Amino acid sequence: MSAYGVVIPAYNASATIAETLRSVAAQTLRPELVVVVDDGSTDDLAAAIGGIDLPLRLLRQDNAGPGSATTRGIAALSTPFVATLDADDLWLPEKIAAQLAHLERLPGISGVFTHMRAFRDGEPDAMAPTATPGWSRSTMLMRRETAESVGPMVDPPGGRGEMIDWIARARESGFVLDMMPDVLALRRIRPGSLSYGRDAARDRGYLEVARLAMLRRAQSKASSS
Amino acid sequence: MPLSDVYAVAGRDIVFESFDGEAVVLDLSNGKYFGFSDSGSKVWQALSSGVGTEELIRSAAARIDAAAIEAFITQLVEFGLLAPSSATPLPSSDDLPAALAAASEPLNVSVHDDLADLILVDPIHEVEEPLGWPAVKQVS
Repeated sequence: MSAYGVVIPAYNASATIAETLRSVAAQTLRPELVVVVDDGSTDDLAAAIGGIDLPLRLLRQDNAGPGSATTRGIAALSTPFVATLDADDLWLPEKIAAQLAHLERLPGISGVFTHMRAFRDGEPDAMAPTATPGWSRSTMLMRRETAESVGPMVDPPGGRGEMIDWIARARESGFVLDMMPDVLALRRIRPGSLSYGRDAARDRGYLEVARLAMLRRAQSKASSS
Repeated sequence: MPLSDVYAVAGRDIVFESFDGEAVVLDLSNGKYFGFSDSGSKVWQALSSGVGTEELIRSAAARIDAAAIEAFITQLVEFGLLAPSSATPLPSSDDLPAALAAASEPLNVSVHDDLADLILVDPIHEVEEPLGWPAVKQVS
């Protein structure tokens, strides 16, 4: 039926991951398996994820980036649906139920994302005034066969932009991805988290993603002419 | 539009990189990105590093006529990638004429917006908290 698994890549996330996992445990539909992929952390992740009522599996790899860790986690799942989540973000309790209902209603849709709101670390009441479309790991729910056929998530140099690249590839393959208007996830903002702030070295990741998109277009043009 | 003596990258939202000599430019304010032909990449590199317009036209003379360079610069300004600058024009590198002579494609820049919706909502844009943020609960 609508069994789903969850993949959480984690790099030195022991301060936040317990809260993240509790938001998974609070879902109105229980996951079949939650795979936490330790991406070469130097903190004690195993201790941080103990004592939470979830079917959990912890995998470890040398530090290779969040895309690589997510790919590894998806490969470890056999559920028909796959959800992903950053180790510092939170789900609202109805998230998965609403998304699964969406995909069951619309068989032609391959994956569904939701809006999200930002909150400031340590201040759960300090919420951004507006929600944004969450084209991000923390809102994604995909049919597993779709995720597998899009292929691995590739981490660009600089550690940013792997979701943009992967979602773009999914679209180019013809998969239809929906964005629900509902706010069903919360994004933690704190200085030092991977996606916080602008940084020239990290912008390089975006430029690489743009370059790859142009290379794919040139290749498909060449092979169709 | 009269050309400026020298140009500069139009702001901190314009980021760029050269991949094996091929320039890629991204406008973080709207998520559009730009690809260049080989000659276009060389000209972008020269202009974005502050090489003077006259110097560039001289360096390119063997391969590209001045009108083509002027049209190309106008396009880059219209795309919001370059802006006139009051800086002192820099000399071009010694190998620019040879690099331009070796280019095989005409001057060209292409604009793409297929990733814009994804780039625009990426958390990178929240370095400065939007006005009114956070909406802290009021204690009554």
